[in-house]
Order: sequence, then structure tokens, then C-alpha cells
Amino acid sequence: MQGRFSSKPFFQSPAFAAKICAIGLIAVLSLRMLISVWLHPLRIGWDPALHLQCAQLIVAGGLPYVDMFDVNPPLIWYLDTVPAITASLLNMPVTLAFNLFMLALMMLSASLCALIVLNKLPKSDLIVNLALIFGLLYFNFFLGFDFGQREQIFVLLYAPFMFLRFARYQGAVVGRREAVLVGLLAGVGICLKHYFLFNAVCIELFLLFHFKSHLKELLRNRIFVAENWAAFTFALIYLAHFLFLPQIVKDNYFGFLVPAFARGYQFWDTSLAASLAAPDKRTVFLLLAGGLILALSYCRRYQLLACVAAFALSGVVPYLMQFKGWNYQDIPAFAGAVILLCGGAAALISSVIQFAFKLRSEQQLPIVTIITLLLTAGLSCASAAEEFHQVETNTKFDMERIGYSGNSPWADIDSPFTKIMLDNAKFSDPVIFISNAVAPGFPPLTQLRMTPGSRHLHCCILSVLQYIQDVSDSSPECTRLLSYQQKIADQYAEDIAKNKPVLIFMQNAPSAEYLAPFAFDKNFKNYKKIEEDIVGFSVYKLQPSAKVVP
Amino acid sequence: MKKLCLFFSCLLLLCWSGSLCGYFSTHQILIAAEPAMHISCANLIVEGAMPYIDFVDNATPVLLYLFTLPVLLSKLCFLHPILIFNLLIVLLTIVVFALITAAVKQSGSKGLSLLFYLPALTLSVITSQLYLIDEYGQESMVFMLLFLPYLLERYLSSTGAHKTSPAWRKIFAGVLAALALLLNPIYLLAVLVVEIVCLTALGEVTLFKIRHRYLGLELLACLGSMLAIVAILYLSAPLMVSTYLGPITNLNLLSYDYFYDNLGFVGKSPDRRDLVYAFVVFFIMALPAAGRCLLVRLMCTMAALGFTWLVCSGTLYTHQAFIMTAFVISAFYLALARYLRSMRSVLFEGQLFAQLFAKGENLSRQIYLWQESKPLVRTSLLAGLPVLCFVTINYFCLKNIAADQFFSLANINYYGFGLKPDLSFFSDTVEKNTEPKDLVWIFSSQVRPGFPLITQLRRRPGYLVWAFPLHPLKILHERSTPEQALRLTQLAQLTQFEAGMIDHLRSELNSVRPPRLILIEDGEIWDSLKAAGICTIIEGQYDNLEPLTPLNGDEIALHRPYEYVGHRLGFSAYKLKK
Repeated sequence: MQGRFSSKPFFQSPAFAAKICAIGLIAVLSLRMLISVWLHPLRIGWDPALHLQCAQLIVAGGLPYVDMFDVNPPLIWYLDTVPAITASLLNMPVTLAFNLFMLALMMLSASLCALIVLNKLPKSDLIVNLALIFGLLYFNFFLGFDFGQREQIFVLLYAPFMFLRFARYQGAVVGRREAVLVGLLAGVGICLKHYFLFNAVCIELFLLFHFKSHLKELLRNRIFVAENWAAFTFALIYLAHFLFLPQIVKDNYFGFLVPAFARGYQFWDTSLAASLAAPDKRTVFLLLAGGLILALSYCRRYQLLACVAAFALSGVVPYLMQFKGWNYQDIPAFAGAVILLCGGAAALISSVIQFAFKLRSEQQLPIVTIITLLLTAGLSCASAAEEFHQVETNTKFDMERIGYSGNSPWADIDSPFTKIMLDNAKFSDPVIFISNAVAPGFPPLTQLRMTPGSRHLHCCILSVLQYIQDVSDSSPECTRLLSYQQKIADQYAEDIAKNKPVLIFMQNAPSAEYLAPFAFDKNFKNYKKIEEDIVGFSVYKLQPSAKVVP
Repeated sequence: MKKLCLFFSCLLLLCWSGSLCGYFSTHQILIAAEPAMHISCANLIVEGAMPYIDFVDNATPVLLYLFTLPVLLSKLCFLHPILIFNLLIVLLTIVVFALITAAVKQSGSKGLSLLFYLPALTLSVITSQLYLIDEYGQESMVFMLLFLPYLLERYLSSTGAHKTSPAWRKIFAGVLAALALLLNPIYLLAVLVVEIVCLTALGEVTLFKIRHRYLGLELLACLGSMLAIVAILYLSAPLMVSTYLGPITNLNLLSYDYFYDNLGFVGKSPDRRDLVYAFVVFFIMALPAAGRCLLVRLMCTMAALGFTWLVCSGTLYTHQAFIMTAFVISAFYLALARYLRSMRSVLFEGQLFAQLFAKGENLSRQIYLWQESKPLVRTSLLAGLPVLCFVTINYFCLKNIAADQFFSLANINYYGFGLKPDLSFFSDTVEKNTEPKDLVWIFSSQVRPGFPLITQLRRRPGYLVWAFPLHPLKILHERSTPEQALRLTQLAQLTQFEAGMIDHLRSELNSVRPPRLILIEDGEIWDSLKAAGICTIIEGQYDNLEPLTPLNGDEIALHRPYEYVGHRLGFSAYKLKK
């Protein structure tokens, strides 16, 4: 048997086997994700749906923080214009375009990592390093409704940078073009949220201490290099672009939203126990601890494991700094844990094979490649068939109702509001959700292709202002910020009068209470209350007579 | 340089021990809640009670029996067991370092290079104890101290530096580790994880390496001691062991399963994010060195385990973060020592830093040679400095305390004195309404405020030392699903345990020496006892006192603040009718 195959390049060259393994893994897992994306064309989480909606508004000519109000920095909206434009060009659901965009990011990230692993890192570490790439793809399958969050995008964009930096410190020769590309991607990833800078700094510190080098060499060949310049330049350009935004944008963002959230973001704070030890949260941190222990066991032999361990662990700090306990905020820690566990498991299996069969790591590669690819493909096929069956047997939503062809599982758009929205409004009709959270307005608005009837896509800001009112002093700055409450109520009134939203969903508490002092009810004079309490919301429908604009 | 490291490490440790002795000789009744409770339980054991049969606590039998040592010593010398306990922990620290120093010195050339890390190790223990001084003597700290020599022995064995070492030291380290692992069942995971890391440190695993480098005497001693201790406990008190492994373990598992929902709100659990941040940053800084040094790797592994235990605790009290914090500080200091050594030759060659290093080294050598040439000076330093630390700390601790804050411990039959601010909440009520050695019930969902108060004032806890079983039992009744066979068995076992517990409480109330004072936390604890009919008996036999609350301004002003989870509820108070 061995004689029959020994002449094949696959068995002769570990590098060739590794190449096949990398291509195979990326192809199989991407295909598996593609099937899932295709079967769920409308599936999306609340935050990604909100960002996508903002991107659509920007594509339609809207201005951030003027025609759409949200506190998040605008980079994610700019990034989301890619799927937004694609969707409008190809007349496909924007959610599907977004999920395909995420899939493309996954493939790009894994391919870049694979190129670095195959060409720039030691051949003796190939098994473990390829397993790390497997982990980088694999964690995406567990995100559910958090698929597409900025944390996931950061992990995908930053991973090639981390691999390249590690290779650079190990002495690999890095071409300028690839370094610039990887650096730019990392720059985009880091700038998505300022917290991500902490992860990047941690990795740089790790590398600095891990590899001994003279100061001059360190500065010249390790720090002031193309990928760092590219990431830094992107960050500078991004920061500089704020200077060129219209004054009203700057006033609204830096003059109101940022200072308000800086003072009142604690409204959603939770406790440390709830962040780390609650049953639905602790699994991530237990996985992380398991991954760290595995990485420690093998970091002497496979040094990249230690670097990934530093990345995974660094994800805990931004999660706790935000202190909301929201699941998506721990995605970098979770992704790092999954990547570590995959790498650690590969190291463990490799050492067992080495002990039992006296085969060196490179010698194991061909057979490990075959087994891994067969297993991955087999399991992917089985799970895809199961998902297909599940989708087929469940209730479907005919997407013709929103101007597209095909079906989507009803479960993906199911919410207490879906039926009311579909019964009372057509796609592209303006609808308003006045709620102190992104949900439940999103994702239904984005999924059902309805347009936001107000510049205030949600009214989280009212909770923030209420918090400032409750806990802060009566300093001029607080007074100034609190004066926006009236302004926001007026803006809502103006939008309702101008856009005549077909439906208004008003959160009974606390949003209605926030707006009550401003005689907000008068805005509903053309509306009929059709529901009193659907999961805490009153629903108002525009009366037919009021639709005609005088 | 190496001898200098040894000298300064010893001096540092002795000074720290002297300072701690000075601190605790002033604060003679100052202790964290959990060790105080274990001292009270150990006192019951010394009086002939059997754990889990005559009183209920969720600690392991080994932990409870270990705590009998300060109680027995207290009966011999009439000092408060809290003072003796604190001093014993100081002594344990010294013994552990003596063992570590012996291990380093006796391990040939390989071990001698370790001397460079000894100051880092000493400093790390001092830093963690100092930073978490309020948690002094907690189970997690005892675990860390007992397990440290074992880690070092495992490091020496796995790196092949043990050939000339005497067997007694390894066996001693193994026995200490066995005691550490049996302090809490979750600690057993440590031995598994440490052994995996040691096994992978062998590189290419061969039978020769396993025989000669992996299977060290300390490992065999540890496993053997664990088996022996468990066998002795089982053979001497099978009912105690089976009760611990049955209902008590089930209650502990239920506490893990059922998260206390109130903790979801802001401020409802101790916010020790600083410790988690320190863990992350120090761990990442130590990781590069962990790749090269097994000792740093072992410290990082223990820190990661500590993080696991913190997450699993569900409550995140500071003491539950001690293992994570202490080991990550050790890993960081060890790594830092390594970086400093390598930086000296690599990063700043021929530059200012290298010159500074050389000058520092030269100065240290001169100091060492100077004290070496004068044995009298050396002895005076080693003996005098710790005494000076003792006196100084003692002086500064007593300096700002008003005369009326002192009280004699003579009324509870001990020598010495106590400080009123060291007493826990509700001390006035307990002192006013009870006598020393009286039975007092203070039932709350947390160890505080019942402890350390009962131990400090030498009162006795009842059968239910604290009310920990009531919450999981209530949740179990509410949420158990009979279709799950495991839960059904658990339910039957726990229902039987609950019935026994209620019977015990009733008979204690109707005994010839019933509790003189009863404090019951309002809310869930009160409701559970009321449902069991206990409150009706209490209301018949006891006078109602003014309700107490830990939110009372006077209580807050008079006592040290304490950590709690969920809500701070008031207490209903009852005094036995005359």
C-alpha cells in the first residue's frame, strides 16, 4: 500500500499535503457556511441589522448622526455599504448579501492565514498551525444571531495580522504588498471599536517579550514595518475623516452622542458575577481556561499557540470594561478559545501518534490531512442535510411579499411583531419602533425591507439621558445634555409628521414614560391604537385619511 | 549573586512574617468569615461532634479536621483560636519557604540556577498576601501555600534536577500537596492538569523519561497520601464520609447548577474586575517566559485553573479569586526575573541599562561579601529586622486606636485583647443577650454576618452552622424535573436530608440548652424556616427583639465593611424567654 502511494507528491512532500489540507479545509467549511447562509436568506441579529440599515441609509444619501441616530462609530456602517450596494444592484435581500459578505471575509481571513502558515512559519508546526486555521473558521458556526457582530469581523480581520506579526518576529521574509494588505485589514478591524486596540497592544507586548532582539533591530525590522504602517495609516485616515464631515454631523456625534454615552452608558451595567459566572456566560470562560491549559502544555513546542492564547485572553478585558454581559462582546475570547482548543487538540493527537507510531509531525501530515478532510467533509454533509431537512419541514415565508423571489424559514423572521407588520404595512413603508434597545425594532425592519420612519432608529439615548438625570450632578454639561430630551421628542414629532409612518410601536415602559412629559400623545392624533400590549408595546396604525399629504 | 538572592529572600520573608505577626498580635480577633466558621466547626469536633451528623457545613472533612489544630492549641495556651490560626498561617508560610529553599539548594547545578527566581517567588507570595490581606487564612490561601512546594518538586523532577535530592523533602511536599488537594473536591483537578503539563514538558515521551523524570517520589507520595487520608477517614467514620459524598456534595452541585438570579443587577456581587484585569495582563506578560520555563508554565496553569474555579464559584467573592491572583503574580514575577536577566545581555548591550545592571550587581556583591565577613551582622540582620518589623507594625496599628476601642478577652476566658472595629456586624446584640459558649443561631444565605462574629465572641453555632442548604433545597423543590432519573435520586436523598435537618432544628429548640439568641434573615431564609414550622416554635418560646439590619448607619460606622452577594436583608431577632 505504502509502495503504491509513496511516489505520489502528496505523500512525498509534507508542504504539498499541507497545501491540500488548507485548501480543502477552507473549501469544505466555506461551502458548509454557504449552504447555511443560502438556506436562511433573512437570518440576522439585531445589531448587525441596525448597522446594515444605517449602511442602506448612507447608500441612499443619508448622513450619519443626522439622518440616523446611533452611538456606534461609523466605520461599521461604511463597511456594510458593500453588502448594501450589492443587494440593491442584484435585487437580493440585504441580509443575504451581508451574510455572503461575512462568508467572503471568513474565506479571505483563512486564506491569508493559510498563506502565512504555509510559506512563513516552520514546517514542523504545520499540523497545529493548520488546526488553528480550522478553529478560525469553525468558531463562526456557533455564533447564531451574533453572526456579523463587529467582534467577529475584528477577529477575522485581525487574525492574519497576528499570524504575520508572529512570522515577522520569527524572522520570516515578508513582501511589502502582502504586509500592506494584511495591515490594512487589521487597521479596519481594530478601528471598528476602540476596545480592540487593547487586544492588539497585548499581542505586540507578547511578541516583544517572546522574541529576543536588539533595540535597533527591533525598531527597524519588527516595529516600523509595512503592516504596522498600513494599520496605523488607516487608523489615521479614519480619524482624519471626521474632520471633513459636515459640521452638523460632528456637532451631533461629538457634541451630544459621545458625551452623553460617556456619562450614561452605565445604564445597562451588570455585575461581575453575571458577566462571568452566569450559566449562559460561563461556558465561554471555561472553554477559554481549557484552551489556555492546552496551550500552556504545548507552547514550548508550538509557539504560535502561546500567541493565540494571549489573543484569546485579551478578549476578556474589553468584555468586562463594557460590563454589559452581552454575549457578543465576548466573541474575541470565545473565538480565541475555539482556535486554541483546535490547535491544542491537534498538538495532543500529534504527540499521541508520535508516541504510538514513532512518526514525526511532518510524516504524519499526509495521513492526518486525509482523515481530517474526510471527517470534516462527512460531518459537514451530515449537518447540512439535517439543516436542510429542518428548513424544509418548518413553516416558510414567501419572500415575494417583500419583493424578492424564494422562501425563508419563518423562524428566522418570527417575532411578536412580524404578523402585525406584514398585515398592516407593505415593504418600503416607513415604520417606527420607539424602544430603549436595538431590539425589537431590529432585525424585523431590515428583514421585512421596511424603512425607518424616524432618524431615531431606537431611543437608547433616552435611557442614557434618564440615567444622567438620575445620578449626575446639575453641572452645566449635564444640563446641556438633558436639554436634548425635548429636542429628541421634537425630532420624533417632526419625523412622524413628515414621514407618516404606517405603524408606530411604542414601548409602554420606559420609553413612553420618558416621552410623556413632552405631551407626546398628541403625535398620535392621526393614528388608531390597534394593540394595547404586545410584549410591552402599544401599536398605532396610521388612519387612511391621514395618508394624503396636504 | 545566587547566595545574595538566597540571603535577601530569607530576609524578606522573615521581615514579612514579622510584620504579619505584628499586625495579627494587634488585631487578635480579626479574621475572614469562612475560616472563622471552620474554627467554630473544629471546636465542635474537638468537643466530640461529628461533621455532617451533629452539625452541617459544606466544607470537606479534611479541611474541618485541619482546623482542629488551632483550636487544640488554643485550649492549651488560652489564646484566642483566631490569633493562633493567623500565626499558624504565618508559620506555614515560613515552613513552605524553608522547604522550597531546601529544594533549590539540594538540587545540584540545575536547582542553583533557580536561586535567581527565589526573590521573585518570595515577593509574589508577599504581594498576593498583602493585596488580599482581608482574606488572610482563607481555604484558597492555605491551598496555595500547601501546593507550592509540590509544584517546585514537580518542576525539578521533570527537568531532571532531582537526582541528589533527599527523599524526605519530596515525601513531605507530596503529603502537603495531598492535604491541599483534599481541602476542596474542585482542587483535585489541579493534580490532573499539573501532571499533563509536566508530561508534555518531557518533549518526546519515552518510557525511560516517564520512569526517570516523570514518576517522581513527590507524585507517588501525593497520590499515596491522598488514598491513605481518604481510607483513614472512611474507616474511622464511614457515616460522615457517605453523608459528605451524598447530600452535602449534592447540595454543592446544586449551588453550581442554580445561579442566583439577583446577581444579574449592578452592584449585586463584589466587583473585583481589578483582579481579573491583573490576571489577564500578568498572564499575557508571563506567557513568553512560560514557553521556555516549566516553572512559569506551571504557575500560569495554576492561574488558569484559579480562573476556572472563580468562574465556577458563581458568586465571585474576593477570596475565590485568590488562587488565580496569587499564581498569576508568581508567574509574572518569575517571568520578569527572566526578562531582566535576558535583557541585560541582549537588549541594552553596552548601553546605560547594562551599566546600571553591572553596577547594581557589583553593589549587591559587595553588600553580600560584607555581611558574609561579619557573621554577627548577618545574624543580627536576620533576627533583628523581623523583630523591628514586628514592633513597627504593632506600633502603627495601635497608634491611632482610641482607648475605648480595646476590650479584654478575659470575659471569654482567653488572654489578650480585642479591638471593637474588628468585631463583625450585630456584635452589640449578641454580646448583650448571650453569654460565652451559649448557643446562638444566626441564619442567613451567606456566611456573614453570623461569622466571624460567633467565633470572635466564643459563642457556639447550632446544628445548622449557616443556612447554605436552604436556598438550593428551595430551588430544587421549585425546579426539579422528576423524569430525570439522576435528579429523582438526588431529590429523594435531599428530601430525606431536609427532613432530618428540620428534626434536628426542632429538637435543638426543645432541648435543655436551646439557642439563647436567634437571628433569621428576612426573605427566603425566613420563608423556608416558616414553611418547615420552625418559626412557629420560635415565636412561641422566644421574645421578639428589635429587628436588625446591616444597612443601619451605626453598624456600618462601627464595623469593617464586608462583601455580600444579592441584597443585604434585615434580620428578625429573638431572645429566649426566661
